[in-house]
Amino acid sequence: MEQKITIPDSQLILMVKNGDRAVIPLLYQRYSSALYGLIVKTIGNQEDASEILQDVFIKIWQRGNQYQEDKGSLLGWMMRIAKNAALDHTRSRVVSQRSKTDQMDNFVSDTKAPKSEAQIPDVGLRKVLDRMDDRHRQMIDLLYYQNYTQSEVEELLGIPLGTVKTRARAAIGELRKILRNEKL
Amino acid sequence: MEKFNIQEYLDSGVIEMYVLDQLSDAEREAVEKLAAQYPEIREEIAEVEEAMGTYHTLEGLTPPDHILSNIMAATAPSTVEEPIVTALPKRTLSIIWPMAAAVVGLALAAWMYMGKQSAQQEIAALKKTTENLRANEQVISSRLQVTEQELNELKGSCCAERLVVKAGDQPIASVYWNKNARLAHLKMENLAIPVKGKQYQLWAFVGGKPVSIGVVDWEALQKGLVSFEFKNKPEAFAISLENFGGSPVPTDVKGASAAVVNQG
Repeated sequence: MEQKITIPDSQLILMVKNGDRAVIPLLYQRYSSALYGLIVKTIGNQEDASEILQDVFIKIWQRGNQYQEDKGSLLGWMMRIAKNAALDHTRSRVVSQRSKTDQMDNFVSDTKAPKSEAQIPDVGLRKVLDRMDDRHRQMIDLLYYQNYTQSEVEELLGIPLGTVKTRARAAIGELRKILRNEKL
Repeated sequence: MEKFNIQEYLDSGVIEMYVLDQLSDAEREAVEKLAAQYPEIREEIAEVEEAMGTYHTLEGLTPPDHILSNIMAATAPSTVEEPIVTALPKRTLSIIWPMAAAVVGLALAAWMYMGKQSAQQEIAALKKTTENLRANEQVISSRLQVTEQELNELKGSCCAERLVVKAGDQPIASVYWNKNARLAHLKMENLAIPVKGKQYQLWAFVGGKPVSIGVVDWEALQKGLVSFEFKNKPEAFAISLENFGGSPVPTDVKGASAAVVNQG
């Protein structure tokens, strides 16, 4: 079986910092699906997500020399740029609490709805979602994509703040465990 | 003062909250400070971020195909300051696999000559070398992709005339003159490294007199094309070596091009 070779992040970082444009297709190949998924799930639709993704990669390119390796991973830095861009987009619309809830409803129904062929994840990925506790998925979705604060989740779900924290940590723990087992 | 307990910190859930973007600016800053200090914390953050990165892909969402082209077009260099990447010869790619094959051949020879253990070590090292070659191939492929796009831009902008700057019979640089965009793209062919305190300067002849187009960023030139705006109608181009920062008149001319065929 052909072994997957990945260019070390350290080399990509060097290319970003040196302003080597060849890094753009490499970063895109490796991270565009993750960043696109993040954006779609944060803003709740795919139409605007493409444009935001485009802007995100341009920002990554322009701000490459601002990335500090000692503060975290390259992926983490890119995800923060994508998340902020997605939130800015959401904020640029008139966002009332009602629309926030609507957005969540849309998102939930969207993710449960039958997908077009192009959107069906591969078996390995589907397994991860199927294996995850629904309450854990809900916690990640609320805190990360819907940008709810822990207190807002406490109120929304009617559970103590301590449980929100514990459940969030457990959600990440479960995700990591499944990914490890699936070797993803 | 109580010693900082890393494990306790990792078990506190603060890393998960950091990655889930649930910390205040001050708390976030505190985590980043500790990450800079303790590799264990940095690694834990990277692992949680990696897991979240995979989580984002679980719905199988993929961006439309044209997005990468749009990004490449939007980040294309359009000013003198923007560096353009090295144009690597295509044959570089074709030598990678023969090199990899040679490496594997060497591994086989090594196995026959050495004891099993040392041969295994050798093979492991050579396997690593092959992996590095394959990783380099990805970088080179990406460079080619960018270079091809840049060449298309040159072609697309129409009528970039190539003029070879020669020192005697030897080509030292090429100038791609785009009369429509009034851009001169300089590409190194065989220029010597400028000595300390010196810098190359590009000139155009206008009305038979040299007019400075600009001083050359050596580092950018080593990576690929360097572009200069030039509003006049050049008759030919020349390169001189001047004191750093350039000179109002050329003092040490290294080479000149033939006349521009179509000045536009």
